[in-house]
Amino acid sequence: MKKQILIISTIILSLLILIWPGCKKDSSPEIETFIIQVDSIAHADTINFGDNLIIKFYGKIGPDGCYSFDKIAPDYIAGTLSVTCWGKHTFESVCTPDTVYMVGRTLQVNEMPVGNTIIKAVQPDGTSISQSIYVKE
Amino acid sequence: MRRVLTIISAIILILSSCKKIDKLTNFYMYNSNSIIISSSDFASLNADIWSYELENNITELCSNNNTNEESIKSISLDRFTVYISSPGTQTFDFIQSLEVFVNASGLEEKKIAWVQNNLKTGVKKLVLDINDDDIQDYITDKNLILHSLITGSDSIFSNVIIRYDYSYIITANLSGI
Repeated sequence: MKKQILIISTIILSLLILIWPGCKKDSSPEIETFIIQVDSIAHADTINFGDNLIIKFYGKIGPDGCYSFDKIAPDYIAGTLSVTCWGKHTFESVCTPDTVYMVGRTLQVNEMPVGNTIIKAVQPDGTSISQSIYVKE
Repeated sequence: MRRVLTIISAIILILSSCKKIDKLTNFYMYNSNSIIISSSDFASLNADIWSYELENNITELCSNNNTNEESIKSISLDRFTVYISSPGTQTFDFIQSLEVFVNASGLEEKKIAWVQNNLKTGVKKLVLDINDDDIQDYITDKNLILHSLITGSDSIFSNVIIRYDYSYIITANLSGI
């Protein structure tokens, strides 16, 4: 009987040790990423082959300081360069009241092919704004 | 005597074959690109530049080394050197720190190269510190992007072009082995 109690106690204690750390609440705030609505993109109309293409993105990231820029994600497929600008919302209890903007975030593209390339800024609703760039030999 | 010769021949054979396999399973990929720091953007002494290469030659390189992308076991940075390309009189004196990160689809950003504080003065070339982390998932992604964070110690009065020269060491299984 005494032995059984000892075994059961050991099992319960082991389970508690295993489960307890898993129940600790993660104190870091929740973070959500989202696609930023791009208002405009700026770049040269024409560049020479071998030059870097510099594209600047403008738009509102969020209404307060809990919003920030996350990253630029380009994707090039057959003459079209699609760019998605990602933002980050950190769910803090207190946020500074300033609106956060993407003030000319810069993407530089190396080795643009000769000819026309469409540049698309992907929007949150899946549509895009597009412009074209010509690379001359 | 015959036995000794046989043993020596066997050792030579084993050593030479091991060397051959080692050479064939490790090869380098060299890359070069450039970033432009705009003097107006650098007025705040900070630059945040995302640079993207439309193509990488990893498929062709693997093929030239008798392997393929699926057989890659690891990729790590071998060296990362930066040079001032323009203007000719510019040195790295205006930089306090330079950090380079890699980004790819669905992966967390990862710092791969950096130089911070106590930079030599009057130089046009810097060798960045690197780590030997496996970054295969980033380098084989077609949407690989380099993210450079630069803090300055001084203003610049015209645009500065910095060339990045870097190489990766790729370890791969040979095709058919």
